[in-house]
Amino acid sequence: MTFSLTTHKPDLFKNDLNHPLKYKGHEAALPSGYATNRLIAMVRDPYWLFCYWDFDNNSWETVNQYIKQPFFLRLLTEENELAKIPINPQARSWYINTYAPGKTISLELVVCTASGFLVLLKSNLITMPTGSVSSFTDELWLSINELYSEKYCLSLGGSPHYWQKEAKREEAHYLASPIPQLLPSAKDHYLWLDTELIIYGKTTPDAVLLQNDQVVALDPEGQFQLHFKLNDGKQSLNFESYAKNGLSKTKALTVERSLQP
Amino acid sequence: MKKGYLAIILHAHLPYIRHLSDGDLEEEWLYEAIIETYIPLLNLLENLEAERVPVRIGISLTPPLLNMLEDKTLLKRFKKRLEVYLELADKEVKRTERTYPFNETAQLYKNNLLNVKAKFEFFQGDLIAPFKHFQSVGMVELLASAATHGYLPLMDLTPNCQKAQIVQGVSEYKRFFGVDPKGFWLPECGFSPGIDTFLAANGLRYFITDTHALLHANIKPRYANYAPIYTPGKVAAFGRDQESSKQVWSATEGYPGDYDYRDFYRDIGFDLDYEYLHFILEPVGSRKMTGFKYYKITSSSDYKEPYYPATARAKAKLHAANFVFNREAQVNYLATITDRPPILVAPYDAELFGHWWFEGPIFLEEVLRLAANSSVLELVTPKDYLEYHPTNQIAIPSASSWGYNGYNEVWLEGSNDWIYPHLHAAGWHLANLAAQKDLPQSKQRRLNQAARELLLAESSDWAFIMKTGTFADYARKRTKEHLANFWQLTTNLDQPLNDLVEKLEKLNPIFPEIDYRIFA
Repeated sequence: MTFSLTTHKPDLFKNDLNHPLKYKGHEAALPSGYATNRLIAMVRDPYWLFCYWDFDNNSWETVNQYIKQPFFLRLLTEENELAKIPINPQARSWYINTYAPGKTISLELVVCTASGFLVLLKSNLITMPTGSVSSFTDELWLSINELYSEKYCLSLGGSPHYWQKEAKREEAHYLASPIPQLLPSAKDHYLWLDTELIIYGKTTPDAVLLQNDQVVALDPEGQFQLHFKLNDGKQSLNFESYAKNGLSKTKALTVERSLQP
Repeated sequence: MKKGYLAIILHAHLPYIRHLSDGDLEEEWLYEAIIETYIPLLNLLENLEAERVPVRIGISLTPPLLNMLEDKTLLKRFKKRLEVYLELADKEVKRTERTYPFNETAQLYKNNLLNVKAKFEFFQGDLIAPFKHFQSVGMVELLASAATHGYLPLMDLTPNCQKAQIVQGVSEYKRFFGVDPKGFWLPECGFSPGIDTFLAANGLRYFITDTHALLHANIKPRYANYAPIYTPGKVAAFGRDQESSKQVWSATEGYPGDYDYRDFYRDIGFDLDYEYLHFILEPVGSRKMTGFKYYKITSSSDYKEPYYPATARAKAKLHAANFVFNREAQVNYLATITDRPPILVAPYDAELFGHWWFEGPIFLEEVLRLAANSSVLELVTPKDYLEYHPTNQIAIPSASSWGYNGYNEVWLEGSNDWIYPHLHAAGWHLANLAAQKDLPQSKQRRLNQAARELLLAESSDWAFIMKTGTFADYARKRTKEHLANFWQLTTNLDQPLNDLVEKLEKLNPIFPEIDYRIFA
């Protein structure tokens, strides 16, 4: 019994049944392609796009003719080329991290020939979601930034893993909740080192405090303490405090850890 | 005037599953949802109506669900299945006779099943009529939804398919409820700019999105997600409230994970002797959930203790009070920093209440009762809000969904990305055919069936199931089957295919009044 039809249920009921029953019967056959020259780009999220391509018979001949040459997907904005990604034309699909949220993007599938790049396919245009708060404010409305920040925080306050993931992707590649580590078995000789990071501070008690866009809980006196597992690398932690009277303060902290083998 | 608004919206949906032969496992999803969610939901609305509680709640019943609920064959099979469950209930009450508290739980399941049977007979098998009734007395606002729960943002390249999903969804709503819908449930809250123009063209006034559709909107909304924005297409977008969402959805912090609540996984279908259960496991024969579960969640491990229904019931009421208290606190606070009463939009999958979270209907009934009597909150639907506050800011909501990570990746990843070249090709092909004029009746009938097959292939459920892995074979097979049917029906139109058309009309009789030209 599993009609887990939205993405939220597995979160709640992730140990879903692995039902022994396999659906019986043959799967209908679909064509492997539609013999059309086509390069299609699709948005996956603010960073990633998915693309797939197909060739007509003539173009497949061209592809085969140059099969030993390098093929690329060129990632283009209206102004410039963002990247050239080496691909295998027979793969027929590819995921690309555009590193370009908010940008309007198109692709070209090209092969590098002796006389330069030969464009085989051009894609549709797609606009990546920004993944962030717009910097545009409506002139017809009076926007109160401080107020907005406060409400924005409140909304973030109930953040599901979406927000955590997004924050992680942006800044905190090396920050994670402290997780109990498994020590090696006692019978082996070992040396085990690790470290954690504790940050504490204080702000106006009624302010809203953000650490890398995540809300930080304050005690009634405005004090806070954060506890992270600290992995190798350099991390910067940005703190923004928004007071009720509209004032804001920003402070940043950079920490580096390097564990020598 | 109250300080703020609470809009609870339930989204009821199941993929269209109707096999020629009786007894397939996937078809039981409908039967289980009727028993565990839809009838309990009607019961709680009935209780509140009897108490004259001034309730307002939004409910979307998707076209596939409505089509299954009116399907005589499925309803006949349901009645038959219900008798088997009742037989099991009798056996269970007897088996647990001298064991406390198991007998109490068995008796509870038996009473629930008897209630389902009585209600089903009382409504003469028509479970859509009572929802219509609750809309007519003003307790419920029913929302329309896409024809087959197609995930619209990934149809950006085939806008004719986005349009067809919306047009067919709205026309099914009119067929079932006899009035025009005002609100639209975007499947998976999936939005991308442009979809709003199709909604507006079909007379819809609002839709529900996830929080960041508003927070990341272009231009920055003044009230964040505590007021709707109008899209350039002049439809209002309401953004989900994260706090109320987390309290109900979250596995770690949410109410449904409370240790006193009934455990979903521990089921006698896997615990008891095969011989004892064989009559309920037939005709498939493999072990499965039966709905008879006697343990509470107890802990995060496999260790389980007996379930006490009365304790769990009390807990559900306690959680309801906590939920309303928190919404009041939220509104009280927001009211101090905004110049208009904030709206908290709380959408949930209907099947969470009752099916996954057994005590969910008790919780929901109590939440509605408390919120309706709150001095701080006013229960509304988004339509009511727009009547109170017709002036709203104009901005473009961000592309988004309520799926994992907030965008399209659930329905576009390694397990399911292969479907898009086929769906796109079919969408473009049908657009060309739909633009042809003066086709003879026989070809139109054939293309109507092709439209049904394409819509069925577009259900977001298949891509989702492929990703989650359980029943992935079934989802793959359904996608391929509908697409293969589509290509058969739309290739060589001059070659007659009457037998196939007739066969497929019987096999997939969804949308009796469809007109393929919606794909133009």
